[in-house]
Amino acid sequence: MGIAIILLLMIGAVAAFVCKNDKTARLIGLGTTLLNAILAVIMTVTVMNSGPQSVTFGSGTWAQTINIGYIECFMACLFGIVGFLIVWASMSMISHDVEEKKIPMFYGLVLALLGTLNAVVFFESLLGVFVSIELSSFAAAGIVIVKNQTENVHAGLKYLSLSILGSSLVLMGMVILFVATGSLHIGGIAKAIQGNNLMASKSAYILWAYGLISAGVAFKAALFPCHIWLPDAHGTAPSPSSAILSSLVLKAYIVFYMKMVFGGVGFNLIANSPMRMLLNVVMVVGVVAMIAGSVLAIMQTDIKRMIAYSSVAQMGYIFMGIGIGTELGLFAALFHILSHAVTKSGLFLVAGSIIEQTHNRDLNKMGGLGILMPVTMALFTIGGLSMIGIPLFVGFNSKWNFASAIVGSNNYWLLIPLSISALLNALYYLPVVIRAFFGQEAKECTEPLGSKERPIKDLLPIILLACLVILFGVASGPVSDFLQKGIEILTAIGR
Amino acid sequence: MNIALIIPILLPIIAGVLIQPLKLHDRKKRERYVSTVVIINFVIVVLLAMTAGSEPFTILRLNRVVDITLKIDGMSKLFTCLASLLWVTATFYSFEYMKHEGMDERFYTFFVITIGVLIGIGYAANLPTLYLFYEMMTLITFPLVMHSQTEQSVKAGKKYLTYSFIGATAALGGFFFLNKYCTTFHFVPGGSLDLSKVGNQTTLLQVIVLMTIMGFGCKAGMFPLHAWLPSGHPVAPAPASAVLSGVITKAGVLAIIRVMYYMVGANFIRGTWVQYVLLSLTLYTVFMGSMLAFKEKLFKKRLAYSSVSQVSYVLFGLMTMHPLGFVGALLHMCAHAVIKNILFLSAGAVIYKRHKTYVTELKGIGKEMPITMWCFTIASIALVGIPPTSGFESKWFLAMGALNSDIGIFRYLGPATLLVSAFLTAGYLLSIMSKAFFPGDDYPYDTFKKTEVNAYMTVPMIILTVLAVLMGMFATPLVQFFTQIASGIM
Repeated sequence: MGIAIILLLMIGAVAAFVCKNDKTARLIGLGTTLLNAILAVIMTVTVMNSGPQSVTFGSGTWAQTINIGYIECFMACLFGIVGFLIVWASMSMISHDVEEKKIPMFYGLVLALLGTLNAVVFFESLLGVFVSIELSSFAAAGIVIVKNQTENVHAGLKYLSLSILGSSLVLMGMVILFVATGSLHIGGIAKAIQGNNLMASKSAYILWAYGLISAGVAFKAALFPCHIWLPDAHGTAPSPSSAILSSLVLKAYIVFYMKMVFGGVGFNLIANSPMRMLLNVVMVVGVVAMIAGSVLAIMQTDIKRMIAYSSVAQMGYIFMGIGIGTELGLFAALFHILSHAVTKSGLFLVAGSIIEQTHNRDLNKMGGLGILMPVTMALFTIGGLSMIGIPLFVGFNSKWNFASAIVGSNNYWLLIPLSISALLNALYYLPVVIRAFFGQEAKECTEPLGSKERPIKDLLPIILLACLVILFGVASGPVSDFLQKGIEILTAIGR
Repeated sequence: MNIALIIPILLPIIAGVLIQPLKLHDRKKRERYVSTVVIINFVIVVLLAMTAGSEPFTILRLNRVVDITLKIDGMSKLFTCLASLLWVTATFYSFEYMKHEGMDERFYTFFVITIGVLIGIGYAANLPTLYLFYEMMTLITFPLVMHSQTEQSVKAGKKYLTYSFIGATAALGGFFFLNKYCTTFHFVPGGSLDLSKVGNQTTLLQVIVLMTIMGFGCKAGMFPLHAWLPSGHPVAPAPASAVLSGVITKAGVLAIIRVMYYMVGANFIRGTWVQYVLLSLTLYTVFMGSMLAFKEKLFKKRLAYSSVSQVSYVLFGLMTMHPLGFVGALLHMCAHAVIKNILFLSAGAVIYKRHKTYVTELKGIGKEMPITMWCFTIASIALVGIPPTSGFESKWFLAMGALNSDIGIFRYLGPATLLVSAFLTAGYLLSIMSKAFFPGDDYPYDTFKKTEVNAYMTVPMIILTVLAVLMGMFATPLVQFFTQIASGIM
């Protein structure tokens, strides 16, 4: 099933590339992502009914395994459903940013990107993961550059070079790990480290390997201070691309990192070994990212750059959760992947709608927008409130999960940055809302209510994303149980 | 049966949201719609207070641990009945007042939703539910503060939001800890703290409890998170300032009661440094609020400073941790809610009719608007605490509570501060009254015109004034009811 998803997306990508007509390309994009979402859901149901599935090609060291467990299904559904909604939203938005003759290329790149992201998550063997990571870097840089403005080309090249730096660091880590454990397979590494007590005999190798992998993933997933490419790339890309980049692309690398750390080393060794030190660093850097990302976001005047910096802060949350290194911490980080994906994609699409309708990206000139585009701004408000962590929105559940992980692991001081960060989120999302609905400009605005609103059928995918924000806000029990099972399977030795 | 608890929460929320889509542009239609909603809501709340059982009702499960649950107990009955009654009077008053503000539809949208959210705070059966409605209250009421959309009001609204979020965040931080140390985060009379889980972390938990109470104290205008109140309340339209000062500050009080008496338990705090810190903070707030009100010249801002001071009377009563002090606190909570409504409504009437915003301009206003100023005078007397009005009864119990409890120097310092503050209250309220009725020789006694406001505004004020006096004269049932609540938790 996993292979079917990757193949479907790749075939769709090729089809989109070769077609000359932008209408056909849109149809291919929409159809393929819809089919992908359906396949992902079917795969999840299958796994829930009959347990994890695994396929291996070849044999020996170079054997490639695709392993579909609960977490892989979770990510596949996320890529499938959120990806479909973003592509759906892009139908009406993309021509604003991308020339007509580049549209087939855009959809080709998006489908290729989704395919490689799925592969990053599905592959159990490090070689397969590495190849997928590299391919996804190119596709991701591609959907930035496709807008074809000077700033995009610069941003895309910056992204690509730092991305490649990141993947080479990851590769070096993988090589050292191979030397130490003799395996290029996460299950094999886990057996070697946890079964043969390598942590005692070869701790330097393992620390170096994981240190390099952490550094590499930090670049790929924009962990502060390796985030410098993100505001440029996400800020200048076409809005649907920004939505995909921040809500999906960053997450694939994080899931790979989680599999390496928690699948490879396991909770017990993390708690009582030099690994703890490494994860402490990750945790502290995550905390710094939470605060620094928000502070930088407050300083922005460009709406998309503000949302992009907010992503930097949110990545900090996830790395903090990983750094806590307990089951609750991992769970909080995984849940935040979902939370951030549904919220941030909606926010980027809203920002895109605003820019498209008003040709203005400056936050200071958005007064009265609540009168011109009430529905759009209401969606922005939902996203903002979720980011702040107001109950009934998914962000609150995230905040709750992080807090229980913190209290459970006795790292009480972390509650302070967690609280400050929530306040900082309020400081940059709410002023936009206030200015849009209540400022002087809103009072003086003479145009009729909703005069610049996009038609409701174009807004529908964003509305559905907002519904997901609320759905996972009021009832996150089932998905939490699902993730819990995923964590159990991920960390079982010799899976 | 208890699913009915959801009705008075959802009814106003839905009704409020529907005001814009229903296109109630016609003033008469809109007034009929809004008044029907608030009156029906009041009736339902009272019926529920009389008939509903005490079984909890769970609406939602947000995640594996947190659920949103409603339940009705003594405190809920008190708070919801008080809030929904004051909402009815403020609503009728607003029908006339809002004629000069504009943007009525948006005002009523948020005004009507707010009462639903407040009922939610009243019925909350656990801390997450309380926190949910508490945050919603902040987000729903800040448009009321910013209603006039002037630079000043937007600034005040932002200040309100910032302070509220800081307060709520501190409270939420406390909640994460209490979740670890309490056996349940549902409200249990007397608290559900598990001392064996606390172990040697008593000091940590004490700090957390202090932080939580100070966080919720933000809404109640307790020092050091009080500064938003004097800038936020006066800029709102008068009916909104009345309920902000009269009712919404009490939501902060209710939240503090829930944390202190229903989660942590009075025994954990009594006699510790936490109690002394809280007592000092409340007494300082009482004194500071009165002083600032005394020297403030802007009419509504003076009333707002008065709220800062008076709500901390209530908090002082709670912090004595003595049943008598607790009863006094609840009595003063009711008294202040009613009285501050009258004061703000009459200040609004003066602004509406005469556009006078400074206390120095109020010379002779008692001749011109006799009903309004009589209500104002009686309410002032009640707030100062002159028998037989409601303020006397409550201050009596507050002082008795302080004198009978074991709180060291505060036994005397407390009542003394309350007394000084009462003098200041007389100073800043009765001086307005005397100028209003006795304007002096240079007042044109022959030529003044009566400019009394119409019945929409006077009738609510008169009803509340009568209530403020009656609550003092026939306080026994209330005292019994409050004593019953107090005996359940201490």
